[in-house]
Amino acid sequence: MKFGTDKNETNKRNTLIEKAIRKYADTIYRIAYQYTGNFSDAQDIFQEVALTLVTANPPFEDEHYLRNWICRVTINKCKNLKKYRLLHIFEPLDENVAANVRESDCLSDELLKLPKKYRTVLYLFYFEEFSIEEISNILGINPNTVGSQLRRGRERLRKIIEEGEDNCV
Amino acid sequence: MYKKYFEKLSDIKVPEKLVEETVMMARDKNEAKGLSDETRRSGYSFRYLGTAALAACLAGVFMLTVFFGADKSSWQGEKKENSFIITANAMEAQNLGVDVSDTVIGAYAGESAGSWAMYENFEKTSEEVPAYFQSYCLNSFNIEGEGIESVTFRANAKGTYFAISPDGYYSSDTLPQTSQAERFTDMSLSNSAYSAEELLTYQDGLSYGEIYCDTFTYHNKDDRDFINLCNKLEFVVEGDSKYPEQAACLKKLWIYEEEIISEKAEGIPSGEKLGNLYLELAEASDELQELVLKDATVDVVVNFSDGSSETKTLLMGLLSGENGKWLTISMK
Repeated sequence: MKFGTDKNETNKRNTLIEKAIRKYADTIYRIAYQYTGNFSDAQDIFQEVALTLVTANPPFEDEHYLRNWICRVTINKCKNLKKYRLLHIFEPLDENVAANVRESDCLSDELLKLPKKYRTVLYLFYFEEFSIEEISNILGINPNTVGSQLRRGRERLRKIIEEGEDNCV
Repeated sequence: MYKKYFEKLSDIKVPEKLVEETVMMARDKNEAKGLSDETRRSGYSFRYLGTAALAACLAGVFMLTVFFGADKSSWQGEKKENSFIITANAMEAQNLGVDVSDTVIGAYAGESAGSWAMYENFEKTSEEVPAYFQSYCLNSFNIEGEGIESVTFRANAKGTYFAISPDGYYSSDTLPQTSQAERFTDMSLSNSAYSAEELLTYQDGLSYGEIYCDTFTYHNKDDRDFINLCNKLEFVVEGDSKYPEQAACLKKLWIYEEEIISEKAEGIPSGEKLGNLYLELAEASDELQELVLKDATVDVVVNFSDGSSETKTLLMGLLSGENGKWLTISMK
């Protein structure tokens, strides 16, 4: 759906953007959180994705496409943040903020030990219930590679779980 | 059973205040955008229109450049019968800040430029050395020519190989009880000195995977003049701890990753320390890849339908871009 520029259309567009932001807010936030591992980055990414909805003008009428598009944009923003982190030394977190960003509070120990690469694929598959084809489109990688990562991720998670059980004994 | 490990994430919700704030920001931005579109449409901003026209011309020139490829022969009209050209994403890479020369035809993002590498530390040996590999999906990698019957790709350096996904290798059915040769119609591995298969049928009924090989042949059964293998071809760089210099890099990767994991597991990572560790990790990764890719080449052999053949050799290397190191493919 492409929009014109008169006032009514701007209002109509505002409504659609607002609806999309509210509907996918938690999805964007969770993907960003499980990728970055902290709430502060997840909040920044949530806002960036929301503003990209304004500038990129995706087809709001196609719910399925919109959801995939939002996930893809969120992952790309996360990757950009990683690039940024590699190139810029960032300031230590304020103590008050840091107290709220213990990722162990919301991610199980097993998932914490899982590399981000596997965590993201497993998350999209098991939590968001995307198909391998959809994950392939979101991450921009071959479906076969998604399948391999899913398998490696599960193997890795299984080993982590088993090691945990051994340690408990 | 794995689903339950993600259940805790259901508790994560965006603070309502942040949602409201973001909706307001989006609304302001949309309204500002609406106004600027209107100004543009009313023709008030001639300067903008001039810039837009110039940008459109430049985009047209860029599209033509991409269409005709980066290989010099395509510009100079040297393409003769039974010849082929190889094009990749050099123009796109240049836009991303990679300083490509005349001979570079493709550049693909590396670890420090935001791509993903796998440090398989869960399989680390007693010497604390992880297995390492990074794969590059060769998007926009094309072979162009008339009368092409088949194309053979051969990775010549140790530690470099391909991950391929032939047709028929990915299906939602159970794995057919047939040999590879019967199953694949578009690729064969007859000349590969090394091959490994990673295809499993999951409990959820899906079969996915890749074949790793140092040589494979693509059979152009549809007589296409333009062969694009972007979704089927990845180039892999793997470290080998048998070589002392590579072993030293692998050890560094292991140490940095362990430090990152323990830093994050403590819950309050120091930004500066974590940033430095990521930088060290990316540098060790680049250093390792430079060692593996030293003098690495890939032969591309095209067999034509009249029985003739032609070989072109590609040099694989690393180049610095704005965002870090990139894998580059150059014509030898």
